[in-house]
Parts: sequence; structure tokens; C-alpha cells
Amino acid sequence: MQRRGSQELQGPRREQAYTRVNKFSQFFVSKLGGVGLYSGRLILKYIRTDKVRLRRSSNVKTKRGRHRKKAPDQTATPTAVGPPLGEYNAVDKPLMLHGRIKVKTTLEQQEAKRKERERKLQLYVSATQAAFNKPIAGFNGAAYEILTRPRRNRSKFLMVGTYPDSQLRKGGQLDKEALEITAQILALNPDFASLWNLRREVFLALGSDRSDEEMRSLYLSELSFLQNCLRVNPKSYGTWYHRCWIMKHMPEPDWARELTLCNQFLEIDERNFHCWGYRRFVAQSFHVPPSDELEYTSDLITKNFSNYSSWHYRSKLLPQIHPDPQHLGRATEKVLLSELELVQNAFFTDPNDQSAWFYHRWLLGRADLPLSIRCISVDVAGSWISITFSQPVLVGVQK
Amino acid sequence: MGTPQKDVIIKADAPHTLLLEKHSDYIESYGAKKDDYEYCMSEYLRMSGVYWGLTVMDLMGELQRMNKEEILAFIKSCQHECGGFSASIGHDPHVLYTLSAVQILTLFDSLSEVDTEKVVEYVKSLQQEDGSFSGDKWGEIDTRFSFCAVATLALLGKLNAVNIEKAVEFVLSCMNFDGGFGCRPGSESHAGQIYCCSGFLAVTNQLHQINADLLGWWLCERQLPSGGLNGRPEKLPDVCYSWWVLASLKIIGRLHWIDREKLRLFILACQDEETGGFADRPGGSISHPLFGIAGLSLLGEEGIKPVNPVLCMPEEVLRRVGVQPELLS
Repeated sequence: MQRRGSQELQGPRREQAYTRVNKFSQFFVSKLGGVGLYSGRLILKYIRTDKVRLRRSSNVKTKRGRHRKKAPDQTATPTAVGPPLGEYNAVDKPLMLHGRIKVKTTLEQQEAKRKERERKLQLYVSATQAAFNKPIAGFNGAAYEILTRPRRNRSKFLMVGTYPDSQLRKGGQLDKEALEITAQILALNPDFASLWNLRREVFLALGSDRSDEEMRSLYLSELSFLQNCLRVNPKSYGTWYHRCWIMKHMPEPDWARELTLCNQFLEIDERNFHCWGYRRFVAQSFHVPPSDELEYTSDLITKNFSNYSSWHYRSKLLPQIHPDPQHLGRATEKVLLSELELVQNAFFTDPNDQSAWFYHRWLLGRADLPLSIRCISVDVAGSWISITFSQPVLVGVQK
Repeated sequence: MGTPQKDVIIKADAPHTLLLEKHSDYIESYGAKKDDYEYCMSEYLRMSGVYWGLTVMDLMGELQRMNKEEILAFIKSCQHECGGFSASIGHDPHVLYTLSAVQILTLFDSLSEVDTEKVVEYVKSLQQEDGSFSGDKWGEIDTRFSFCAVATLALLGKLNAVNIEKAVEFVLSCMNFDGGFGCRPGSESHAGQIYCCSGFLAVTNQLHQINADLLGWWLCERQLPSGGLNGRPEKLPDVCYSWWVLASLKIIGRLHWIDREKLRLFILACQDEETGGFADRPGGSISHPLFGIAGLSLLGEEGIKPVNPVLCMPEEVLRRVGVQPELLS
């Protein structure tokens, strides 16, 4: 499959892409039969990766295009990773999202949501069904499945259930088409772990007989797809892990780009622990100096000191950067004192903030205790002595 | 600047009594709606969903309303050649669903229905050199999987099949400055992860490694003025943490460090009076009833059987199979 790499579309090509997307959207909407343009766009949003092609029957007519949000500043930042990070869609959050305020919906909104879900479900189930039927009935394409499937039969498909490993794998169809079908399903439900596995199998299978250049373009395309998925659902374990896997397997991974991606996602949600976890993986792989990471947490804390994730990270970084002379996993006294000052500023400003207090307690417990004997007890009857030291000591038998 | 505290306000007309009958009707009818949006979208975790449903039914004394034969047939068709179980038929095996399958089989006293030797082999195959466990053959590492692995083995009476010493070493390497635990070494503490790690240390009889006062302080600070619990500092309360946080506090012997009555009222207020079931917070989106009901069980609510805080199964079931991890007092 042709890929344009990860560079941004600019100028007339960008306009072209917009036009293509609009046409595509209209095509999609008209085929769905009278769905509002909004719904069409929404569905499109989920399947807009340039890898996802919708086909009609065996005719290899492809409608492709990149959906871009209007972000004029993006053209000015050539280092930006992939498509611009717009606000991700709040229309259909996953079922359980922690830490987000739920706004009471009106009846009208509820009805709109119900309809929206019905559409999504149809797309989801049909795409899954298409994946299973591929080797048997010939690939008809997910959208085509939706368009052609008589309504009364749809519930039957729901009863059938989903069998990701049965057809695609048994039929030996570990190819790019498998990537396309699973992309459609994963874009709707990134927690469908077996499908991420299937994609990894495809990558391993393709890797054996494709040129390095072709593989690299496939891997880049995967990263771009993953970024779209993360934007819709930034808290999916499966999506983040798949990104790790891709980065570990692709030739010449661009780690700097990944660090930028982490910055962007943490700007949207500074407490996203999935992204923090990925950041640590990137920092380790890219050999980012811990002092750079410390500086990053300082920046975040300056913006908002009740950033527990940043304080936590500091507790890990400081002992690495300034290890204590006894190597007890602590930081030096001087550093601890300057941290104390920093954290005091935080809770003087807002004494109700928990983050600062937890960190404060940790700092106070870090002070170096001089090595001394705290307690000796002797049991004459049992013939033993017990000694308690102020620090862990290595006890050995002298020969 | 700082982040203002996030919390909810419980309205005066929110439910304040336990609607047990409604919840059991809700669970019983759940599987009947197979073309429902949530049902289809959650197939990827079906095995765990079945375990949650059965456990909550058992805690409410209604297990007999569930179709045992159908469920056992489903479980058998989810076991793979490698010994592991998948979330649903045709999906890939994973330790998350392997534990759920073994928990269901234990609830039904039907472990003999599957090849348990193979299950042990599967769990063994997931342990890494550093003692950690991957979730499946694709290599994702997480302390959640350490818990699933040892919990599965404990229920099968085969804890020694893996290198426990190494496994403990790995989990302890995930301990943080606040006494809590994260997914991997270096990861931030999170109530769900703390439950897994304290549960892991209970199963492996290593709870003395926890600084119970430090961790207890962090955990009890999860309670907000509304009475609800959040999962990390500066987050909104969510009924699921009535399980993760409360069970952890019970494991480390610090349950009395929170305001029980306020939490009870919060959980009751999350009930859906119309359909049964719970919301994640009053007026919020759907949460599984298990988390609310099991939380209430730990708080000693009448009409609910006592739940084991480590394995999240009825105590009577675990007594029958002789699995009784020791807790801190």
C-alpha cells in the first residue's frame, strides 16, 4: 500500500484531502440511507485512517483521504507528530471513564445518543462479521456489509458472536486486508485485545517477505492509526501496549517523535497514567537523561503544583540523579532540602492539596540517619542477642 | 495554582436503602439482551463479566437463578490448547480471563470440568525471568497479571508451580514513595493496582512487606466529602473504588480508617432505582453491580454474604476449597 509517510499534508494537497474526505463522507452517508451528516462524519472520524479503505464487492475501487481538523498552527510546526491533536470527541466515551464529570443529558440528547450507538453497533458488528467471512464468502468490505445486509438479519449476526481468530487466521489471510478490517473494529472498540494480537501476527507474517522499506512504511502507518485511536480513547491499555510493541519491532524507530507525542498527550491530560507509563518506556529506550525528565516535571509543577503524577516521578528520578552516599536508594541531603522548599511553596498556596503533603511526608522520611545501635536485647535462657541498627547493615559470617 | 477538589453532591431524593431484588433481576436479564450495545461492545471481556455477574448473584444468595450448564459449556469452549482461557469463544487466551474462568468454576464447584493441569502450565509459561508475569504470549507486563497468576494458582492449590520468590521481588519493585503500587517499576500508585499488589502479597503470605500505616493513609485519603472513594489524588469518586480501595484497606487491616456510614450512603445513592444496577457515581454512567455490592459486604451490610477481600468471592466458597489468605490486623 502506498504511504505518504508521516509528514503533514500542506497547501493544495491538504485542500485535496479535505475535498476527498467530504466526498467520501457524503458517499458514506448516502449509502447509510438518510443518516444525518453529523453521524456520517462521526463514523468517518472513527475510520478515517488512511489505511482503512472501504470497498464495494470485489471491485478494488478505493476511496481514501485524510480527515484533518483545521489547525493552522500545525503547518508552522514541522516537528509535530502525525495529525494535529484536536480535542478528542466527547460524544461517545467508553462506558467507564474515571475522573470525568458526567453532565446530565436531555431526552433529546439521549435519543441522539441511542441512534448514534445503533449506527456504531451496526458498523462494528458488520465489520467483525466481514472479518470472519472473508476467506469464505470473499471480502465484501465492512461498509458494503452494512449497506447490503437486510435489516431483519442483523440481529442474527449479533447472535453469532465474534470469532476473530477463526476465519482470518485459519484462512491464512494475514495480510493488509486483515489490517484494514481490524482497524475499523478497533477504531470503535480499542479494548478488543484479540484484534491487536491479530495485527501483530500480520506484522510478523508480512515481515518475512516484504522489503524493509515497505515494512517501515507499514509500521509508520500503524503509528499514525494508533495515534488516531489514542486521541479517541487515550486510556486503553491495549492501544498503548500495541504502540510499545510496534516501536520495539520497527526498524529505525523515531524515539524523539514519541517523546513529543507524550508531551502532547500529557498536555491534554497531565494525569493520564497510561501515557506516563509509555513516556517512561520511551525515555528508557531513547536513553533520555533523568535530569531532562526532572526538568519536565518541574515545568508541569510550575503550571499546576497539584500534579501528583509529576511529584511521583520526581521521587523516582531524584535518587537516580543525586544518589545518597550510602546508596540506600535516597537522594542527597542538599537536594532533599531544596525539594522541601519547593513543596512548601505548594502547600502554603493551597493547604488542602494532597499531592504536596504526600510528597512532603516522603521527603521528611528520607533524611540520613547516622549509623548507630538503637537497641540490644539479651536472652540468657535462650542464649541469643538481638541488635537493632538505625540503618540496614550487611551481616556476614567471617571465616 | 492547584486543582480544585472534584466531588459530587448527593441529592436528598437519592436511594438510601439496598434494592437487592432489583439488582438480581438486572443481572439475570443482562445476558438475555444479546443484541444490546453494551453487551456486544463488552464481548472482549465476557468471561470476567460472567464472573462479576455470578459472584454478585452468589453474594445476594441468588446464584441458582443463573444457568450453570450453559455457563460451564461456554467456559469449556473458551479453553485453548495452551491451557489458558479467552474472554469469549474464538478470542485469544489471557491470564485475566483465565483467572475469571477458574473463579467461576470454583463458584460452581466444577473445576474437574476442565484440564486444570494445563491451566497451571499456561500460568507458568507467562512468568518472566525478573519474576513478573505477562498477560499473554504478546508480552505486556503488569502487576495486575502477577495477581491474576497467583490467584489462579492458589485456587488450583498449585502456588508452588511458579517462582514465588522472584514474583514477590518484582511486585515489591513496583512499590512507591506513598506506600502504594503501580503497573510496573516506576509507575504511579493507583487504587486498582494497589488492590492487585496487596492481594498478591496476601496470597503469597508476604503482607509484612507493606508499610501498612503509610499505605493506609494514602488509601483512606481517597474518601471525599460525599463519602465516595476515588482511585488517585484529585480524581472524582467512583463506585468501583468502593471495592478496590476498601478491599485493600481490609487486607492491610485499616478498614476503620474511613467513614463507613458515609461510604455506605454514597454506594446506596449510586443505585439505579428504575432498572437496578449501579452508576459509577450518583447520576453517572453504568458500573458493574459487583463493585457496589461487594463493597457493601465489606462494610457488613445485612442481606449480603461476607466477601473475601483478596479473591473477591464469597467467603463460604473459599472456606470450602480451603483458600484463606491471611490478612493484616
